[in-house]
Amino acid sequence: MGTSATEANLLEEVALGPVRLRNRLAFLAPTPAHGGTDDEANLPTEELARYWEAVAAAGIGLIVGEHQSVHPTGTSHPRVVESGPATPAEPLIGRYTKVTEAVHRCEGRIFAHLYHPGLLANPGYRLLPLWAPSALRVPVGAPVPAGGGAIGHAMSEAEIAEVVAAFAEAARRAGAAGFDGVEVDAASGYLLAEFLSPATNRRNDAYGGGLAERCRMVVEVLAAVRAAVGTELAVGVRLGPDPYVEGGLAEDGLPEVAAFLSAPGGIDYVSVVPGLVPDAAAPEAAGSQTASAVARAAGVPVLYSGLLTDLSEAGTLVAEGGLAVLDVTRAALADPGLVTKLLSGGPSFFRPCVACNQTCTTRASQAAMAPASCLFTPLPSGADGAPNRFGDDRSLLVVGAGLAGLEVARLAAGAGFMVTLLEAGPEVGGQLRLAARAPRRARLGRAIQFYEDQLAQWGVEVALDQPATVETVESLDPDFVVAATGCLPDRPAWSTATGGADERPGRGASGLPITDVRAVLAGQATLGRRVVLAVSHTESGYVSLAAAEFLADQGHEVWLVTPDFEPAGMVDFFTSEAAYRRLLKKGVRIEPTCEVEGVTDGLVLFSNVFSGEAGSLPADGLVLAQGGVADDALYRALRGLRAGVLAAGDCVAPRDMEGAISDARLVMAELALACRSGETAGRR
Amino acid sequence: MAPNPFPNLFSPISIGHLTLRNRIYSPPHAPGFTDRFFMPSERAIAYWEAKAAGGTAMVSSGVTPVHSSAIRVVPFDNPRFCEVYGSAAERVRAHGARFVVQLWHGGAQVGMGTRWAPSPYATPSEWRVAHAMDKAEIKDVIAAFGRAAARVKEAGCDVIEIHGAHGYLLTEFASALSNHRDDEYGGTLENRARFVAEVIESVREAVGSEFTVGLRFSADEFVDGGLTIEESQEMLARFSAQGKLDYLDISVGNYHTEETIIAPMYFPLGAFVHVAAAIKEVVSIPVIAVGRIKDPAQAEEIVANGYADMVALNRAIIADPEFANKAREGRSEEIRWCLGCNEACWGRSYMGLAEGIACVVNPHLGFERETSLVPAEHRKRVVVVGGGPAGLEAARVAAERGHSVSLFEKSESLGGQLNKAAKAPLRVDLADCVRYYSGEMARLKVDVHLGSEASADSVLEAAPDAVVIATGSSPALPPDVPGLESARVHEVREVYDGLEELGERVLVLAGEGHQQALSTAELLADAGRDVEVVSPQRFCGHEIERNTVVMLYPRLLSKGVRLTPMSWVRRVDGRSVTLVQIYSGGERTVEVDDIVVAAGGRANDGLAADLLGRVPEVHLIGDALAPRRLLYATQDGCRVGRSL
Ligand SMILES: Cc1cc2nc3c(=O)[nH]c(=O)nc-3n(C[C@H](O)[C@H](O)[C@H](O)COP(=O)(O)O)c2cc1C
Ligand SMILES: Cc1cc2nc3c(=O)[nH]c(=O)nc-3n(C[C@H](O)[C@H](O)[C@H](O)COP(=O)(O)O)c2cc1C
Ligand code: SF4
Repeated sequence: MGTSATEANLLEEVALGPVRLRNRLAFLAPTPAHGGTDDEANLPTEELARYWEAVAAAGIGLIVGEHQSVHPTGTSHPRVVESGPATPAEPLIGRYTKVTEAVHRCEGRIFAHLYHPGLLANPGYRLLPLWAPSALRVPVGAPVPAGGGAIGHAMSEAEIAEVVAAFAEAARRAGAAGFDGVEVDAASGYLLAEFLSPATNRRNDAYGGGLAERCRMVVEVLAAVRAAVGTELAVGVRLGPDPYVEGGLAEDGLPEVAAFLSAPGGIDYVSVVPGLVPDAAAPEAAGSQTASAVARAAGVPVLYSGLLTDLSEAGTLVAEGGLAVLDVTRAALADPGLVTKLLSGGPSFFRPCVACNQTCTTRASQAAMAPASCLFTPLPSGADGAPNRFGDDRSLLVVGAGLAGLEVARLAAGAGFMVTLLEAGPEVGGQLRLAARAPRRARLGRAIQFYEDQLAQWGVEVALDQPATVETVESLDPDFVVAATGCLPDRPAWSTATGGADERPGRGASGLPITDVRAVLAGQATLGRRVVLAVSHTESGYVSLAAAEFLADQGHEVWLVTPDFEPAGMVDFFTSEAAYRRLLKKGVRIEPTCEVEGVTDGLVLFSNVFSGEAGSLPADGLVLAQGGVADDALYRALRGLRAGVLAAGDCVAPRDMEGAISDARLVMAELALACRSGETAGRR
Repeated sequence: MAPNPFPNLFSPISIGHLTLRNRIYSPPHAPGFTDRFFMPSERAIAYWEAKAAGGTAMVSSGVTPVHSSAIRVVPFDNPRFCEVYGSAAERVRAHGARFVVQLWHGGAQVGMGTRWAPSPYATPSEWRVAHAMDKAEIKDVIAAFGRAAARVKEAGCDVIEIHGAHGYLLTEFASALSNHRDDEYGGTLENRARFVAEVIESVREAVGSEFTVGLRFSADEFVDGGLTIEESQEMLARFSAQGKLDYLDISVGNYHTEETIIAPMYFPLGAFVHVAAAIKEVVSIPVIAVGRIKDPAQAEEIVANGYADMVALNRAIIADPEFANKAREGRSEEIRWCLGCNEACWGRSYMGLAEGIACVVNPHLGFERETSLVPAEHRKRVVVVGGGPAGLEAARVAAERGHSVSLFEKSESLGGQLNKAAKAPLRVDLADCVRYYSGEMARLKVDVHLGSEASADSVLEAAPDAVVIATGSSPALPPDVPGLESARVHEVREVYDGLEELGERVLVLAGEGHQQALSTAELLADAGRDVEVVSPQRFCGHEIERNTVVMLYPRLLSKGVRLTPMSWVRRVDGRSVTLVQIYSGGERTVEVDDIVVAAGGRANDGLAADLLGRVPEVHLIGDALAPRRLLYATQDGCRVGRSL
């Protein structure tokens, strides 16, 4: 299996101004926060060198590092690195020198990423005012950090000059620390983007009004940065459309801005990023046409960042789209072996990014206790790579081929166990397969494809349509059993009392069809035109959004009833924002802070969780999304009978993909312990 | 020195083998000043030290996870544990106080991986279904409490408080609400108490009989099926009789009723003292009461009447670490009162562990050393323009540092917008901030000129060395709304002076997501108006702290206020207002008599521009710099006051 022509050009060398990259693949730090401990909150950590060294060692051509804030008013996270004049130059330069040396040792290139988040600053612990072009609140749709979102302070010209000088000083330090280039962030609704955008720049002085005025501050920053670093380093600017729901600088306005900024010949490249980080629902290569238009207009190389989860076609972006460098961050988080595998061919064994955004974008930026990682490939990914074959041909039975069972089977087979996988249904994939049926969630199916390939590669024996009982297990008598039997849909008390939801798909005592999300996604439910989707607190997230969109796409009139303040409060910002923009256009209506309490003829009854006030909605059907109940009967029965019984996934506690994967890793650790000590594993 | 005004509050007490200097306890709360391994940083230790120096008898750390199923990194296993906690204890003791470490497991409510609980169970705010622990896991956690306890003793700390309250793992076992087991850890009261008893046992075994060990317990969960006072009396009487505990810290609530754990200003003072009193009736060890205790006279009464042996004042001491000293020395009127707003303490603590708490009235919090007030090198003539919280704080800090300060306020009273904010229903605690600053202005002999609007000329006349412009903001209408001028439009602040002018149907345009809009909506509803609130955000009041907003919603909704999120006004034609759903683009026209705009206003920064270059220093602070909230006003004021 050779590398295709379109992949081949991803691996060729390319120049960004004075800097040659060994290939066209770039990794952009996915979280702003790489600062250290509380007492050194805004210095790069000692561990940072190791982190970037690993990325460079994996063969990535260009790293654009974590955000470096240039000014005390400009932090979007309490642990962001600060590199402007307010920070002492040492140990900043010292720590970063270690980073660049580590990257260069691996023949990688790393650029410093300088920014000021403007209205998207987090007042953080300093509680300083937000600096902005105009005294406005950030428009709706931008990822406002918790505690942020106040009216900005309209910067004076002296303050503009202060920030320009701060960019220059941070750039000078980047040069001193051995960075290969500097990327000035004028995208994502940050300060410089706020100057560029008519939605946020209402000034009528030299810095606001026409294109030239709105660009003035960025031009000054780029000139000052160039003066600070000379011509040995690459200097680029990051541009993107505004993230706002309406108004502002749109995709079609970018080429003009890019042309203006690159006209004096002062920059070596333009980096083009999307307004919102594309989530699973976005198409592959989202925003690449905008990037190509920018490339044509700007006349300098363009780094495209959007959504590339499948590199088999990505080469055409270079060959036909005229894009010089491609951001593959999420793909490389999901599969750190990406470049090596591309070099050696064989795309079928890529661990695919499914663009779920569940841990890489969200968790990392919120808690920032660890660098961003992919939920499928938690750090450190010890179980991957050259597996230690501690299994030594012991037999292992996995019951249930949902995500947890598949991951255990894959890892255990790799570790030298003789694995048998029993699945009660006709296919592997469990709830993930249902989730992948929702509109725009098809990418999730690629995770299942990955497991199918892996199971075949490792020779795992898969038995479908095989519901396992205690007797089945006893007759196979394996050395170890891992129950991964998932969960069953939960039902609210009222629906079981009336017997309504027990028929699936069914008809409540009242005659109103009641079903649940799984049946709907499996295509097993027949529902009339008007549908109420009753969501529980535990499901106020990916499931409820997917179900609502699935129903709307099938032509139903959907009312989403949720007990929370909003239906997607537990979903990462980018996924929920994009989902609201689609769902409400598709006519989905939302009844927040309400809980469904029953049905009567043609009506779904609900009440407000705060006021208790009762209400009803005329409906032809009710769909329940009420979370799960662990299906742990087999596990509990086996635990009473024999040793070597473990469990993973929703049968431990109904959660999500991350829970399934992390349980699988825990199971592997316990198996390793048991095998090494010669015992049979039990739960601690 | 004046005679001790609160003799009961300031009498010593023995708990276990320790004698405490008074009855005031700064109870557990995690300020969030940690490194990535959940180890307290220097900021945390300085923070605890300040409370000890302020006269508090006992100061506690916040929740400290004992087991990796609670939070993956366990501080007790950190090689630096003894060094860091030992030094915290030493520094607290150096000021005559005792240092407590709280041992915790978050159960179903808080954690980073899969939650562990007695039964599959989920709670606000994350609603993650927990894994039902098996017996091996139960044993493991009990042993972890013992190991952690041994480390606390080894580090040289004074007291262990076992966290059995607030719906975390121990409460979950004790409560029939969350414990549905049918083995020896579930079912009867005795069985449900078993896990807690075994944890106590394990801790006691690890530290021996001489070490002081207490239990924090939610003695009323205020939820159907949850712990009641009667059940708690029975359980705690048993624990007390078993002789393994030295005190009981009686709190209430779980995450279903989180508003009772950290009670917003909507609750009366001392709302839960009766719960502690009920427990005190049935036990023989000291009992601590907690919850909305903020006034020394109130605290004195609780101890004097024997409702409890000690009082825990959490937010009162967050707001003013000098609380105990000021009370004891007869300087109660100098206390910087907690407002019960929850905005910066609890409001910031769930935003992300890295953030760290703050306090709207205490700008020193978390930076006790860096912001301690040092006498000014040169006494300057400082003019402060504006008597809102920003100006008042700047004047306080400048005067405290020895500057000669005069303050000009246009209106007839100090406090600015706070005077209005405090008039909204149940928001009267906000007036305590004005009361505090008024007292401080008198104490510090700030030359206050009321009813005196400053101009560039009048300021220059005073020949100041430094001018602080704290002139606040003025009403401003949202830009880009065609036809707005054709309607009867008022800014929130105007409503507080001219309520009678408003017609029957009022539309509140909530450009901000906080109390300006929702407090005012409630005020209008109470005044009999038919109110709809429109907000562009995902829900109305999205910036309000969660314990506060969950108490506000029921009142607003039952008073008939309609909340319309994700929407804004598209155009106005007299009384007819067209609203647009932002995401769908759908429009709807409503007929209203008046429109009230709550959007934060426009900064009054003109005077600063006029003075620039004409006096040696001009500083712009508070809403006049950028219209925000109280937290930012006091922060700006303190920062500038220190820089003079
Ligand atoms: C920011 C914050 C953090 C808290 N963390 C804890 C904690 O770690 N452990 C605990 O038992 N209680 C915690 N609490 C509850 C307090 O100890 C106390 O019971 C509560 O604030 C009520 O007391 P007060 O009305 O005096 O503030 C916390 C409260 C706040 C405001
Ligand atoms: C009706 C109303 C209610 C308010 N409620 C609050 C509040 O609950 N919390 C808060 O921090 N600020 C609130 N504010 C805003 C502050 O009062 C304001 O930012 C502060 O007083 C500005 O101080 P300065 O004028 O000294 O600059 C409210 C304002 C109004 C008009
Ligand atoms: S932020 Fe508010 S509630 Fe919290 S301690 Fe300060 S004044 Fe009290």
